[in-house]
Amino acid sequence: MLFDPTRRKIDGVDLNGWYDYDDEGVKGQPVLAVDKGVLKTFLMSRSPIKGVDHSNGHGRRQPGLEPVSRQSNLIVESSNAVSDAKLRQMLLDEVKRQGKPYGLYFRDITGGFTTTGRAGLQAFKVIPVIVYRVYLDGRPDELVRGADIVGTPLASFSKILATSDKTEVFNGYCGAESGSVPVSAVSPAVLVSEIEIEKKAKSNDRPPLLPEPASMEGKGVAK
Amino acid sequence: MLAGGAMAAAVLVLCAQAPAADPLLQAMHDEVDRSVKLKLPDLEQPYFVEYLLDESDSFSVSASLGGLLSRSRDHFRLPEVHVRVGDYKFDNTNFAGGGGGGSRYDLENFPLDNAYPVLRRYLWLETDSVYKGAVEAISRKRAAMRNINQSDQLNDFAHAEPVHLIQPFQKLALDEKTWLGRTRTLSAVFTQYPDVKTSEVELHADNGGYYVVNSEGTEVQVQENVAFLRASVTAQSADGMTLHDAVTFHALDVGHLPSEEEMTRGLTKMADNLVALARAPKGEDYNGPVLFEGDASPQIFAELLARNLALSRTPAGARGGAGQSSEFEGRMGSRILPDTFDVVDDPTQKEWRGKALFGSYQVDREGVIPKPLHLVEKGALKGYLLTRQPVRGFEGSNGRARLPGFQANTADISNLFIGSSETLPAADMKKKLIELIQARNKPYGIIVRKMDFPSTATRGELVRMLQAEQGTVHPEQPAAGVQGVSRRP
Repeated sequence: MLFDPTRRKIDGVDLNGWYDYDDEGVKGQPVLAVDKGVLKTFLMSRSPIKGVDHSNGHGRRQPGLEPVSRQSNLIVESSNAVSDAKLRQMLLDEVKRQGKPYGLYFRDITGGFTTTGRAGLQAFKVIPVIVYRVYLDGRPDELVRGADIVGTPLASFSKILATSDKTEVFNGYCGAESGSVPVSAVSPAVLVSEIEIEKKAKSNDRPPLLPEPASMEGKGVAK
Repeated sequence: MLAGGAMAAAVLVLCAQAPAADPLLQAMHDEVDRSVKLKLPDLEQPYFVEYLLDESDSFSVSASLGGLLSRSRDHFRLPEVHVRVGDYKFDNTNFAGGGGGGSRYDLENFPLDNAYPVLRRYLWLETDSVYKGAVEAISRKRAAMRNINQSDQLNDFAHAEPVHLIQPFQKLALDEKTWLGRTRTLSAVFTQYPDVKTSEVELHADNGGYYVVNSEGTEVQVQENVAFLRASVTAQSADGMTLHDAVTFHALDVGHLPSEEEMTRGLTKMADNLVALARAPKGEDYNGPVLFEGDASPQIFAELLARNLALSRTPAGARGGAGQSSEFEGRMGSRILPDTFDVVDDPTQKEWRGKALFGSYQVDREGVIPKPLHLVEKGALKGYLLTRQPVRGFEGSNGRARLPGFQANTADISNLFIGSSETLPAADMKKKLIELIQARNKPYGIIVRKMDFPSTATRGELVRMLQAEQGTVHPEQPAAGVQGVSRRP
């Protein structure tokens, strides 16, 4: 797991978390945070922590706020990579092994949040927008709504069974105490043996009483 | 834009279905028509639906000591959707517990483009939400009224004649570069004044106005343009007192602002005055004759009369004294000024001695046409500024709904004319002051030429004043005396 602000593109796709110098004037540099599954170091600003007394060019902020250590381009690589077709087959095998009727396939999320503060809950929540049920019996995949992924960060990551051999780029913005900064995450598809899902909080509002205006426009003036 | 004469003739056309060429008016009209049919099972339909929409196309620039601080060009539309259920006697408004409720559709900014389908869609969803809130509110109000002893039953809404008047807006046309340069240049005047601690010059030009379309048949578009250049300065006296002053040049469009030379003179005069104030002796508590002249005189009348001429209504169920109350309430016919005084509020006058008047308008924010109002005759109170919200003793608007307010519009003055039948030539006023000083055996009198109204204090200063005086702000502190300038006590 590498954080690399010096990479501008991956496979022709622009990366959002790119910069030459961070917001404390320190040159951006690649940081290998996790090597072969083992945590090696932290993302650093100029505020030293126990054991690490130098910035590695990750002091970032939104204009007007104080910089803190933040991510840049997160690049996840795996040595246990298989083809997409193989990964899907592995998902079905795992569903069968666990005796479940279906597995879930997450295509897109809108965002999420993680709390890892010492005083708070160690938890994360991700809000998916496109989720399919993948059935064992060969039925077509079925789109579902109203599910959020929740969990504890370390427990979930340790349950990764395999990854795809193709990477995907997620460009976005990451918010924290130093504001919103542009970031990227580059990762292959991951197959997780177990994940927690919770039902979304849902509105009970009654839909509009009158039909939407366009459907009434026989006589109206469409301009 | 129509010419003045033609406009007066076009006023008050009772209209059933006006053909509107403007897609926004058309969308408002069509959706109002449809929204009166809103209905939830077992609950009432609206008896009144109204869209009030403010539009503004503006340009602002500010500068200090010859350098720009900010510039912006802005265009917005701000709709208000009013839905009343029940009837004119008793509806969902004038109730303290009426807020909230309704569906939420997360509607963002109102569309700026005149694309009919998206305008309709926005109004459709917003009206749906407001209607649902209204039926909830009237149910809560009915229940709450059983727990309240009501001495007098006021109706909730006054009838009004439908009005049709369209004054299309003018696009804001000004040369931004020229005004950036002029604002910068004017702000550099204060580089000559080392004693001026902070200074800022701000230009603001705004074209736009409001639309009112309601289910009674009113369809109105009223143009309101305004431009001003304002300079504000602060200084500090040796003992630490902060002093501030501001000068504002107003016009209906930037083209009619005074020349750069005239504004430079105004700014220089203000800075000279502020520097003199910072070095002036501290004023002391004073009780004796005072002469208000120049700007100070209309300022003090606007401050003292305007708020009190509007009657406010306490919403049912409000605990304690909600809102400001008028000192003139219940004093119809009583003497409130010396019997030589007459006060007329007249929005139909467009200028006075060659100066454009800012308070002129043809239709108010509730679609009511205003007429001149004789508020004080021979010193006696003869009327109030009224909106369509009935208040104790008065029902029926006189077209003074000029400001937004809690569940109802707030009445305000237009062009307020204060006249007296007993006048002296301006030059003799000071002689008279000196006579009074001698008669009362005082060492000096006071001439007030300018009041801090509307207040030029910064927000921080107002907060400090509020804290110091525990809830009473007196923005009418004199900013300058004359024979020997004095700082306020």
